[in-house]
Amino acid sequence: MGKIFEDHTKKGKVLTPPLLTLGNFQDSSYIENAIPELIWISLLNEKLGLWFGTELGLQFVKIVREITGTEEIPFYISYFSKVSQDNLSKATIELKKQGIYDVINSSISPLLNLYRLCPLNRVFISEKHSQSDVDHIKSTLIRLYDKRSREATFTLGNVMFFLGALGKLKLVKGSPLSELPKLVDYPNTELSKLIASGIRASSNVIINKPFIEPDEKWINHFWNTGFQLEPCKI
Amino acid sequence: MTVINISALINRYIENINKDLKKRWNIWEKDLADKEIYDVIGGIISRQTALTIQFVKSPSIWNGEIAPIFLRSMADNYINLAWILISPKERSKEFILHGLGQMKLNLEHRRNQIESEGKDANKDKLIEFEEEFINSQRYTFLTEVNLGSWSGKSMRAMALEANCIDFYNYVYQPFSSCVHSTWGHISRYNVIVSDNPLHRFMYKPNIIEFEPDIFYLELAAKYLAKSISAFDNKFKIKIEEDSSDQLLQKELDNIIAENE
Repeated sequence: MGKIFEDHTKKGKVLTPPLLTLGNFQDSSYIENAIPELIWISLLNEKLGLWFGTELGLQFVKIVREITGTEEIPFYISYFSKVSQDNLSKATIELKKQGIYDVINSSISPLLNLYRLCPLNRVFISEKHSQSDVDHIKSTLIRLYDKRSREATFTLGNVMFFLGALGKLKLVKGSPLSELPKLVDYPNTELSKLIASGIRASSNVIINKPFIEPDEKWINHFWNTGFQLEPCKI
Repeated sequence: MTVINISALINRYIENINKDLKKRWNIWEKDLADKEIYDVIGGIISRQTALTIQFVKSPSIWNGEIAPIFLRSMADNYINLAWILISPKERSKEFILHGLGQMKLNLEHRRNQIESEGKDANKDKLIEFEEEFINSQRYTFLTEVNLGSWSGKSMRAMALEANCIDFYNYVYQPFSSCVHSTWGHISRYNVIVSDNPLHRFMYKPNIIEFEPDIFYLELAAKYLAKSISAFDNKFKIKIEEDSSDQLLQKELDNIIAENE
């Protein structure tokens, strides 16, 4: 009979797999932590299509960054928890001036309406939520849960695009990620699948500390709101 | 779905395994100088038979949720038997002494509990009975309490020594998760994932209504047959008839063939 776990390291009664012996790892969950941060991008893409959603998303992120003057790229929702209201009001004015405030507000309205404590409500306005907002969020979540779905892939792709366009991402020439625009063919070409794979791998770093500063209050509010709206009963 | 009545089959099987136990006990050559061997090994086979009888009488527990509780107990019993059979005289004595020590321990806990309630433990009938029962075998004041395993070894080590490590790995271990209600068992049998996307794949309580699965009946019969076979091999018992397990299997095969 063959020996099992020959590649594991034994310390006392604990068998550790090889990867975990390479360093100090922290568990991170794409579903638990990344979705609440990035769902606004998915909603933009859904409403406006990939090209226009990406374009508008980039403009929004650029404007906020210019106003706050930070090095950080404001692609994640928790970012907006820590910005001063004064700066966010300036961002609102500039978005209106550029003529993109209303279209973004309307595209992400299910998020703003359902989650009253969403930090983006400090920039945009919301109304009392409707059942259609709930249904919209649910159907978006279903698509985002699968990290290999088109919706999740394009959302993560947008994050990489924002970082690249604003000079925060340096890519090696010839690497699949340097062909980011070809992601639009996902999953129908080998190249788009390679790009997607690179994006998924990178996202574990980009959507976690210390790259971003998650607002635990926002993340808890995001998940618990769903629970309150539609309790998990038996 | 076809409903098949197997109560007659179960009754016949129970009758057969009762006969198997009696036959073997009665023809087994005994030497009172080694009384403990017969006490313990006879007791273990009796226990295995009793477990099987209670199990087969209860089709409502022939499912993955409950059956492993019984079957793991049978597996435990089998490994004990297999290990004792390597050196029956010495190991039967150890088995008894350890068991008496456990009973003495339980007695002291019970005494403690009664006294903590402000009652007189000396007047408790259950304590009196338990103490007399232990004393009938060995005086409690001469009985050691061993807090470790009865054999001084892990179940795995015993299985290795008794040449049934596969049985340990593929039966005893997997069924342990049911016995101990680990997450491995609970996540399969007692919860279901919420299909509401707002719930982030939360597991919620779920009670399954099981149909009896004959597979578990077959397993119980198999483990009893394995125990009987180990006994027969060790003590050179030769019984020419088909074993109860074989008879059961033939009957089951016929029923299935008739209903296909």
